[in-house]
Amino acid sequence: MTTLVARPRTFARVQGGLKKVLLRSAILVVLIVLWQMGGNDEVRLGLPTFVGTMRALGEMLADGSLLEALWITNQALVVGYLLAIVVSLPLGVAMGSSPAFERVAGPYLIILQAAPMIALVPIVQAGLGLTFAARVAIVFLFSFIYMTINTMVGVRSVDPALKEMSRSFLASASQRMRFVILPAAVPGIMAGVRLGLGRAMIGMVVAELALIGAGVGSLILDYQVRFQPAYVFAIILVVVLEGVLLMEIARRLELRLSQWKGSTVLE
Amino acid sequence: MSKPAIEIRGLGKMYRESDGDAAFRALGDVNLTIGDGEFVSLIGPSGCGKTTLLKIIDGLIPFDEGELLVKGQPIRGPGRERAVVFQNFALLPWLNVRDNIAFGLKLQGTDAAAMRQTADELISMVGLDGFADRYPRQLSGGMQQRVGLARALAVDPAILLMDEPFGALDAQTRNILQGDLLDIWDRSRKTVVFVTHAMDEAVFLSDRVVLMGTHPGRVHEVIDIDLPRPRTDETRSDPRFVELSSYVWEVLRTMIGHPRRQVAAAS
Repeated sequence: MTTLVARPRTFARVQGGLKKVLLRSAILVVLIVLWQMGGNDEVRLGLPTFVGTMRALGEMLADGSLLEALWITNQALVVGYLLAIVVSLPLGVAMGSSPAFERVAGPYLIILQAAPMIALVPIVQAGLGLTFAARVAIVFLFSFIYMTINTMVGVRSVDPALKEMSRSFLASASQRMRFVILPAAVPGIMAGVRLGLGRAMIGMVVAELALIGAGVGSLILDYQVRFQPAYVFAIILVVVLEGVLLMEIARRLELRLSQWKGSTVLE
Repeated sequence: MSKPAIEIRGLGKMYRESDGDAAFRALGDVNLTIGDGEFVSLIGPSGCGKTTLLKIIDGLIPFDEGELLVKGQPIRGPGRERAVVFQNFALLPWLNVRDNIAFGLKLQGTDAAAMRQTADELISMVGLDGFADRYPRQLSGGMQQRVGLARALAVDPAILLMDEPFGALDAQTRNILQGDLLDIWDRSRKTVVFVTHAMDEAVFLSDRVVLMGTHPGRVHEVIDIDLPRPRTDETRSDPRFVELSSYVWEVLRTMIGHPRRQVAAAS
């Protein structure tokens, strides 16, 4: 298996990879230059320059305010997201393997999926107040539906021939679940876990911006009302970078666990 | 000869349409006795229910009428004394060759050392030395079906049920696998029920060829194959082999070429 992954790493491929990195860096440099030229730090409602944004970032990192905000924000993200995983995987497996349960629970899931999540924020706030629990709940609501649906579809689309084979070889119901259905559903489940992470991050920021002032959200609002867009930009940049980083980790995890599908090779 | 391996008397199978009223008769009044250690092929036009009959013998599909005895005992569901080699291999893509072969043993709770030993013996027997740690997607179709065969043999069944096992393979691979299958069968003398749509394959392998007819699926004719064993590639040019193959084709062509009126209407 390792040989199969390693073999295509020929010189030409490494060279191709290098080209890709150079091209991407070049695009990044061009974008930053354009940003710097288009921005203006004198106009307080306008687009800040790149340099101005970096200066603001440095200042917030130096006084610790940004790290503290990130710490507060990410607590809600981690708790809400893990809770969503813990709830949605068993729920998705149950819905995927029992048509009767799916008929009962399915419509509610569709309602939640169709509902604009942001409209639920006031309801959560009414119930839980301006608390940590409220932010956790919003992260949970944003992320758990996609994970549940993906898990359900993953479980349901397990090749019937494999289930039949396991029955023929005398697998009990729990053996069939453990040795056939769950492993076969891993790629679907992992895709949901990755999508859910993106949604959880949106939920995290939405909760703090929309109503419950805390962490990164309240820091953004602070600088917004003081008309200091460079700081707002710097914070958003960090949040985006965190998102990219987390999604990349999730993507690599997904690829690794789905390797047997053979459709993708881990780079 | 001792007690027959399989006795089928007056067996019938209905498929109910989704609207609940109409029922389609897949098999009607099938009678067939298969002796211990006998190699029997089921062949017939598509829709004759040969695969259905095979799965009924394995216990994967229930039947509605008649009687089915395995070693004199009525069967209800899959059992240890029977194992299936599946049409599209039905290998678990996330397990390597050794673990796929050991799958049936694992379900029975065999300890790891014994499992590994049996798997390694079978890897040699089916000619997969050096491939134990490969994954199914790294193997050709022929090699994948060798794994499928080894997995069935691993649980040491008295009866091997093979569902068009070589149907997805090219002609050369198929010829080689037929020869290897006969070698293995010669050593173990298991009872084999072999579903195929290839006339020459049925004749080359079998002691008897069961020609099945349609509407409903039933035994049309049973042909004794009196070719001497062991059969080799020379057998394929034996005038008697050619004669028997042509005869099977003749009967099949008559069945396909002169469909009854209601058949044409139904399709």
